[in-house]
Amino acid sequence: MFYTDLIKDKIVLVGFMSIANDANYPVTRNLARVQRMLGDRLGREAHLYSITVDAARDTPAALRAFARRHGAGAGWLFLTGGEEAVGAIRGAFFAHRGGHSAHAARPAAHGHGDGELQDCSMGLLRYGNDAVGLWGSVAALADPAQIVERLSWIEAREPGPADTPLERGGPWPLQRQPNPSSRTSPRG
Amino acid sequence: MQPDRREFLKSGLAAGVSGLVGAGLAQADDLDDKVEAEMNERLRFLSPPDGVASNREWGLPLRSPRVTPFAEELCPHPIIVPELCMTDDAYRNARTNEEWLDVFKKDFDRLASRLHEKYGLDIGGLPVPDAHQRFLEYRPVKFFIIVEKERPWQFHPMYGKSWAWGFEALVESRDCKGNVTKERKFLTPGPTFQARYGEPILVRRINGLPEVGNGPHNAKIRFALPSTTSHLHNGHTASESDGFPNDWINPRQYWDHHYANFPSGHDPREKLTTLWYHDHRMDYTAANVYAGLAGFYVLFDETEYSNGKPIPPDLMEDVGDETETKGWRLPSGTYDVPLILHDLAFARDEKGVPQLAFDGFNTDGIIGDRYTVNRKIQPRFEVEARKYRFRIYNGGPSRFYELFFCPESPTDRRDLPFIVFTGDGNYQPSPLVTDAIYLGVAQRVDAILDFSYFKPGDRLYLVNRLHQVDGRGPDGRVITRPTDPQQHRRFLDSNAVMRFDVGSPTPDQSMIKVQYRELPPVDLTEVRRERIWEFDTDGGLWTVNNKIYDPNRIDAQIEEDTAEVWTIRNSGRTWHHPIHSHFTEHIILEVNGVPQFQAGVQVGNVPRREGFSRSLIRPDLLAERLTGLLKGLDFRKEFAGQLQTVQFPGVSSLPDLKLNQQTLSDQDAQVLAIQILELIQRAFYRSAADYIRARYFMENRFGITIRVDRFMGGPRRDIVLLLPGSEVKIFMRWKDFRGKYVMHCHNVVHEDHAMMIRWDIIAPDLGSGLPRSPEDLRSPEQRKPHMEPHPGQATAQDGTARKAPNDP
Repeated sequence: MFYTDLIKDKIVLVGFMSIANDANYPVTRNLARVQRMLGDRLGREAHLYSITVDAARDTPAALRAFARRHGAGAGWLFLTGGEEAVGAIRGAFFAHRGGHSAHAARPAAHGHGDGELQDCSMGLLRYGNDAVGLWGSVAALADPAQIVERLSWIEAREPGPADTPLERGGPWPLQRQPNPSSRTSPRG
Repeated sequence: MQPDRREFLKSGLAAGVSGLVGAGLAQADDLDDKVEAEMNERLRFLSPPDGVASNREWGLPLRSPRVTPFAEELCPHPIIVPELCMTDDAYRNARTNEEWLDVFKKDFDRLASRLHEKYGLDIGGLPVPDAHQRFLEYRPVKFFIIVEKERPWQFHPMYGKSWAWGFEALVESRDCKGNVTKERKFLTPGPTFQARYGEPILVRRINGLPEVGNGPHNAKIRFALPSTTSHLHNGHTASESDGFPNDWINPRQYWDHHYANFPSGHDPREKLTTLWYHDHRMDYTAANVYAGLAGFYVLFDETEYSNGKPIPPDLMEDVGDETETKGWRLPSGTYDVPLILHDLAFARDEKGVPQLAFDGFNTDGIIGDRYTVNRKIQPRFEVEARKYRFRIYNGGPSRFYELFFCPESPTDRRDLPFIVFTGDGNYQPSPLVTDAIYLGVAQRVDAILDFSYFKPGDRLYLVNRLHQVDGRGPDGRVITRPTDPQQHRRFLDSNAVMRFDVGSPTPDQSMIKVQYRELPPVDLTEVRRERIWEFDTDGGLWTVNNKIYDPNRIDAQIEEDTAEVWTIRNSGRTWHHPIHSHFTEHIILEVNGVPQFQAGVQVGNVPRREGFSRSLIRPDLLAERLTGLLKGLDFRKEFAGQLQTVQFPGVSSLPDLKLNQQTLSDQDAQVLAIQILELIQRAFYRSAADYIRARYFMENRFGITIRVDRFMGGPRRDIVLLLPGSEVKIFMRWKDFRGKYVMHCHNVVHEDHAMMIRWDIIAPDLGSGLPRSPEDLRSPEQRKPHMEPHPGQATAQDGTARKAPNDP
């Protein structure tokens, strides 16, 4: 099951791709950088899924080779499936009610123009923490550091002791910015 | 057709995994009911739950639980009360900044310990003046505290208590019976700030929201992020107080906002009146505002000069007091009513209580099927039979409105006109009489509605007739008003955002002037650069000049004290984008290449629907009524003489009358005259619409009658209403502060995905037409190897930011 095995109770990063589309829209290369930044946290604290939208050409063997080429390690899965199943998952992750169709698989159609059917699922990564039900999205080609940072926003946190004093969030003196290392807040 | 979440689970991705992990994934049809139930629960606050029938009538993703409209009465919105007033002699006698700060520190410490003892409230440390530009130059005279909280909120009596985000503050609240109490209270929308030009304020915003998680003390609202920044839209505010999207604070942190409350360049023509504050957290603005983080901020004109001397009465303008005879006399006090519209969707939780539902997977725009006003579903509002000033805000997230003021009877076919006098908080040079108000997301208007024609028990409706089913914008359909009584009832029940119930007439000293505020001039010699911004879509993302938002990229460096001409272009042929640039208002120069005359610019592409018909005058009735009135009243002869020369219809509107009466020395006689004239006029118009039109048949100083079919914002705004395929050229000037700001689409779902640019105001002669990194603007010793998009880091100010005067 996609949900029980891959999503349930996990912090995940889900992207849609195809090998052909990746040639001019290099999402996977960017995710490889994300993998590097996550290091050994990937697979334990966070999971990365690349789901192909072009199952006909992206066979499991082709995906395996593609994954190897990008150095995908444990915790980063490349997934394929029946057209209907992939369509359903894309539909769940990308609700376009403005006339776009997530079904009209046009693998290379990440370009603009409207009034025509276009695929809008490949420009964005969805990230979520299923255990708490909080989801967000980030551009697939965003700076990898910014993608990784976003995963920390959605981590569950217990409230601190009630008597924790309030902390100044800002603004900071204009000419004396704080030392980056002095900020220990997990979201900072 | 979209598969719903149920199908998402059923299908289960019959996946072959490319060998990296041998997870045996099950085939389709292998539906695990237990998992489905779990998934349902977890998606509950995120998106429409499974199995919710799609609302075909509206084309909406879900249908919220049913309500009876107009069930709850809307009471006056509470006003925030300062925790400290820095106006007493101790402050006034302070000769230096240090002395002033000493007094403030003592007061602050006293306040902190008092609040801690009394309420267990921790308000944090002393504000830091040198964190703010021009803090001591514009020393705050009031100090406020607002705490962002998650609390139960009743959206509708049939819904019970749902979870909401909002603000807790010390407020003066007035219930519907008029009883006033001062209390600490949770509110959504947040409390109203009644600020005044010339009175700088300091607002401490504490993030008191619960953390993300599943524990009993964690956040109940799951679609929004308890990490916040608050933008004052569209205050002339220093960058560090403006609510930059990356200046966020997490739970148990606080941020100080210094609102200097002076108009741009100290030019009184730059003054604004109807502003609001709302969350602006990068990526989560739509969700956080949807959860409730927004509130009102209204600005009035000063009543005294900075040296403490009162302003001479004949220079007074919008002083917020209708009894101040020399001011503009706009309806004030409880007759000045802010109304914010949000369209929301709800789904029942496991206990059957409707909770806010937000589909975070929809990047087109979120459309709700429940209209709310001040976060109450379709409320009713009891009005006295007199004039009211309504400040109408479109709070988003994605819906556009075309509002009509509609009588209850299906046989009364004439919608009542609005008298509109501001667009996006900017006074119009002259008020306009209009049949409809078109509001893009985040746009505001101030309109006067005159209920004096109506009898106690009459009902009127504020109706949205713009059809919209998705984030593209309105689909072009205008919902027609049926004639059949039953259908008309249904039309009102489903399209009215609120109802007005008319009570008895009360004295009304408020007035409508023929002229308000002149627009600031457009001086093209001030223009240093021209820029073009193209708004488009790309792979599910929303782009500006083919780029998505990056807080570490400055897309425009604007030199302080210059002006620029920007072309805002919509590359989409079907998308609407309400574009908002922070900090400064703009004046529209051209729309689709056509130069705009400032008196008439509407940016509407609708033909006039109907002309204004002159109503029939019945002299016999006039004579009869007039005699009756004159008999019963004793007033000055010269006034009686003047009254007989009054011309009908129309041009004898109130301001003219006021002019005619300069010979009257007695204010009472003037008020009396106005009331009589109103009664007389009322007698001569067969419908309320004709009456109001005739009364406010206005002409500007060029003698051009100002009446429009629909008001779309006027010539000066902070939202460029970018209709599909259109292009708008605007003029803007930047003064007084430096630092980082943003321009973005105010369909906040587009903003979050990531239709936004960063622009900085920088020192003269350092500007550039090309995007740059913030690093380039720093001196070498300030450069850092790596910067995070977080407060105090990459988004730090330009190194040449104005220093606070006492900063070494």
